Amino acid sequence: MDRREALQLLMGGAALQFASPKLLASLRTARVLLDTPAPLRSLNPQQNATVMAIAETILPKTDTVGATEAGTSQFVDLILTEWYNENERAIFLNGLADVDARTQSAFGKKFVDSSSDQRGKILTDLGEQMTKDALAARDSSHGYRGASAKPDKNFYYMLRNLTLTAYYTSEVVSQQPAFQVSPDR
Amino acid sequence: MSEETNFDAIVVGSGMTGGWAAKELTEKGLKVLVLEAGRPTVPEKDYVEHVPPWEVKFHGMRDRRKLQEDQPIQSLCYACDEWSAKFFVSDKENPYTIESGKPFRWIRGRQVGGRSIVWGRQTYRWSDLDFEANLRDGIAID
Repeated sequence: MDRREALQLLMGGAALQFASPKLLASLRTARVLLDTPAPLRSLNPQQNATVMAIAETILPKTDTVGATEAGTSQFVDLILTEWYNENERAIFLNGLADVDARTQSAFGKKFVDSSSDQRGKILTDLGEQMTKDALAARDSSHGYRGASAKPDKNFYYMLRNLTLTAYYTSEVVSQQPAFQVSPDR
Repeated sequence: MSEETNFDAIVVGSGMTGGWAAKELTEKGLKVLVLEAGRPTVPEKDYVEHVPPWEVKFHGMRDRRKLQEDQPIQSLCYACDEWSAKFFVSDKENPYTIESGKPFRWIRGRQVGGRSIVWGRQTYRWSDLDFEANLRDGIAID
């Protein structure tokens, strides 16, 4: 797809609600080409920046792409808008606010303004709580087909899950030289 | 009756069983008619399992709200995913009742090929016990 095709696709916005997944995927590609990401529908800019900062701490850009480049925050926004129920949405957005509250009380600044060591400290704390919640969930009920129940009301579990899903299902990650669907024998 | 409407056998449903019956009967030289209520299947258009996750809206996490609304029973089947949900019936359009205390998940396909379109590609050898399992559980007669 070149720039002209991309523009033509985006012009047809009125037909969007009837669009096939294939067309929606083309539109996402078109927006990347034009450098105009889809407008966010659930996250405000501050929340979006925090999601990106957390995701990028989990999967930072190294010699391969990081979580931001893989479109994690757009995916999180989609799930918040069209997938989560009201309760999950509230848990997620409250959890996001809690991240800033924790960073504020520990380091006197917002998460996005903190150093990578400080970010690591906050996420380690969240991870410890997630592990406790995971053990409690495992002991209290059964998940799908006898699998362990997941702590799916834990904010950090939710965000990690979405980050990893967005990352490993993104086209840009599939194009990384290091990414092998079937590792060489 | 004209020749066109004269058949040795009529198979109702083109799924795994009907399809196999039609194959066996035609191979024996019978003139067979297969009836299918569902829509045609066009492999080059309908088969989508090769479509990468970034080309489906929820990247494989399923269209959860649509499933809850339209396919609450069908989506209990693991295979009713973001790619294959279209090969499962709408529960809204195909309601059914069950006797109290006798739950039954009626997972259905409604297209040429029926549920063979979504089968798991695994076939296990059955034992004698498997053929009597329902009776042993107190359901039906054999």
